[in-house]
Amino acid sequence: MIDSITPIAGLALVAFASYGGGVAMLRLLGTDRIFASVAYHTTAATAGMGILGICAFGLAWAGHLTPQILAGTCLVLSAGIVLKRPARLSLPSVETSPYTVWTTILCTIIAVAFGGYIIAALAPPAEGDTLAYHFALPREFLDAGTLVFHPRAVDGAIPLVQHMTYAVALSLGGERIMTLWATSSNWLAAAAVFSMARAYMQRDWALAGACLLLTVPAVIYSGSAGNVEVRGAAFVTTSVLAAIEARRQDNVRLSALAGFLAGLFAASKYTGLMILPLIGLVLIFRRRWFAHGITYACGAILAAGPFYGWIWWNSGDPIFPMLFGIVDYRPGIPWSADFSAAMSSMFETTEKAVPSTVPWALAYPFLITFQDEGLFQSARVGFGPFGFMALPLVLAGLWATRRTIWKSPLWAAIFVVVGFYFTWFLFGAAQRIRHYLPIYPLLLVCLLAAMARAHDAWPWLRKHGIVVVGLALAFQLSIHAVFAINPARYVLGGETRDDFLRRNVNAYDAAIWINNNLGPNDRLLHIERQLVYYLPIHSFYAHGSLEPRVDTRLAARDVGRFWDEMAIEGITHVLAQPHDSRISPVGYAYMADRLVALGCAHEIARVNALTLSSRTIVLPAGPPYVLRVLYLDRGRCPLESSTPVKREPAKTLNYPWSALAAIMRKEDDRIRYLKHTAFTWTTSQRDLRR
Amino acid sequence: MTTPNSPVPAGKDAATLSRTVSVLVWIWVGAAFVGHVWALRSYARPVLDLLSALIRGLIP
Repeated sequence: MIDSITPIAGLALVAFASYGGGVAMLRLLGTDRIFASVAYHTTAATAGMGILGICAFGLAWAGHLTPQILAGTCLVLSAGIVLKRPARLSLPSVETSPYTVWTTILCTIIAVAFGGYIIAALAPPAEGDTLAYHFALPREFLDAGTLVFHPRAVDGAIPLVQHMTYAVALSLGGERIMTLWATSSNWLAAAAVFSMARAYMQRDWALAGACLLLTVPAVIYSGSAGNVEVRGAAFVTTSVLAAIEARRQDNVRLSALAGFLAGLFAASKYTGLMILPLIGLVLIFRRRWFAHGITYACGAILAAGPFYGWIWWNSGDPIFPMLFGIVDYRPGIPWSADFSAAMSSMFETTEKAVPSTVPWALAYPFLITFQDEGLFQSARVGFGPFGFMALPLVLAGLWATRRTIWKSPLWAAIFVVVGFYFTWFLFGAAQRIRHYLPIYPLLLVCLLAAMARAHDAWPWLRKHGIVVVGLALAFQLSIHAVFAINPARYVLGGETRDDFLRRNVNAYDAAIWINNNLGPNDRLLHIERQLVYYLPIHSFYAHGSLEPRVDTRLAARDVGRFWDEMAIEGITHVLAQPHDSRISPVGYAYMADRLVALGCAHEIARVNALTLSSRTIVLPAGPPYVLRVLYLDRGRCPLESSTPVKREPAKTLNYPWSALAAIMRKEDDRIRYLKHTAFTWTTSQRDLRR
Repeated sequence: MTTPNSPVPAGKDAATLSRTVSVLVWIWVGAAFVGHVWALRSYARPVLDLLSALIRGLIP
């Protein structure tokens, strides 16, 4: 009984901490009596989620990431609930609207959607990015009791506000509470849509917006996973909501709140750096532009500053490795021009399907709606058909309000949507549809507002609107149901955890073998990103384009260097496929084969694996492949240096403040860093090898 | 009946025009929906396979 109560209490504590922290912040900012009811609670919970992440991050940076301290922090933040505004208060209220049969239907749809999400959350995590870093990093931080910096682009050196909330949930309740927290915090995006929409339309329209967001495939896909985009959507939507109110009331406190919320998105993902100036521009085009601008900037820096400061502190580049060649890197950060080129090449070939030009930007909405999968991931995890189906009604709404539309506060939202869309499409790194998820709620509110105006102007368009929303919801709900079948087999069908993971995670059998056979003193090198979460903490994940500490690029073939880099990282075992002799003698598998040929490595196990094409539906799997576990034999290897190998230091810092920074850098932080990233090879460890 | 904002002229043509607009909207909505579903046609068989497997599992 206690076992089941404790995790639920953990989840409740995390939720209360988020809400309490946000309520306290709204009170301290003096903005708690500005929002209508639902908007108040949503904004508080969203801001509070960020506050929880920032607090956990600070504790982790200080080396105090323990369950006891995190629980204490959550209790303190929860106490903020006493600052909640009185329920009976004269507040700005939204237009009253009657409860109708549609209200009941839409609330039922929301409940059904929640059910699907909860089923997905009760299954073990299986989404690729989530296993590679969203959940793997928090697990590693908790094990270390502190932050661990990986100078790995894209999924190592990243802003971490959301990951720190996962760490809190994992610490207080375990994996299941972490997935439940990831799921339930995603719902804030739907609440944000409802809150914002409610200011411009009646309840049923706003509920329809929440339903459409909750059931859109791109959100379903991220529902119980650690992907940051959906919670990012909540940050962006509430930020724009606050910015609109800041403009309307000329209230600089709200500008600070808008900055804080936008900063939280930047603290979740580098993409947020593109949103920040856009919402800032919304605020400064007015009379008291300086006051609004400076408070907005302060809020944003408060939220995002610690995370970018941490990345800079460790690497020398606050947006690692985007500024390579522009700023000097810390000693020991082995990023190079070769890796920058490999990373750019990877993005161009695997993340972009069409040229980043204005004509393609204009064609993109058609492509993601009417074209099969491609590189956009738009078919299975896209935005559905709603936008195009609603288009004539939206145009009618624009026509109906053509004389007053220029005064609409929603122009701020449209500006952010259009600005981010073109900025990301033309200059962003990837064209996958989910990268646009943070602005989708704003777009949804604008579309629904226009539809509602069309409906008000011409009541005979009512049935069209109902059919558009109904068809889109029916379609999306059916996808949600199909998506829920897979986790339901585990949750309701009595499937074991290992069986579920075998069906859903490529090469999971390798993780089982490794966990059963390697010990705490072993360190495994691998390139299977989907296994990071399920492998021992001290395994080393090398990415062929993003991880410079062990060079496994497609073009890499220097086995001696490979050997030395593994020695620096303390690698004892390697997980690799056999090299296919039909392809060029380069790359990770080739170098692993060469180690075997040279007598430096011995195969100790083989595991069969499949490339799964989908977790949800039955698609033909890729060709089966074999993974070999190799034991590195340093005693007999001709590549072994007689002198200990050390990494050549990177360029020294030339910042004017670098001397001061060096003094401030504590030696114990340095030791902790070395302990977790530069495992040193010792003779005693070698004696432990079989 | 039309509102002052309406692009549809008042009078006996109004009903005809609104009917025409209505039909055009229906055509657009239908085409957009069918077009999107058609784009996903390659997933129809896997989804049907999944559902049939599910039904077989539920009904011994």
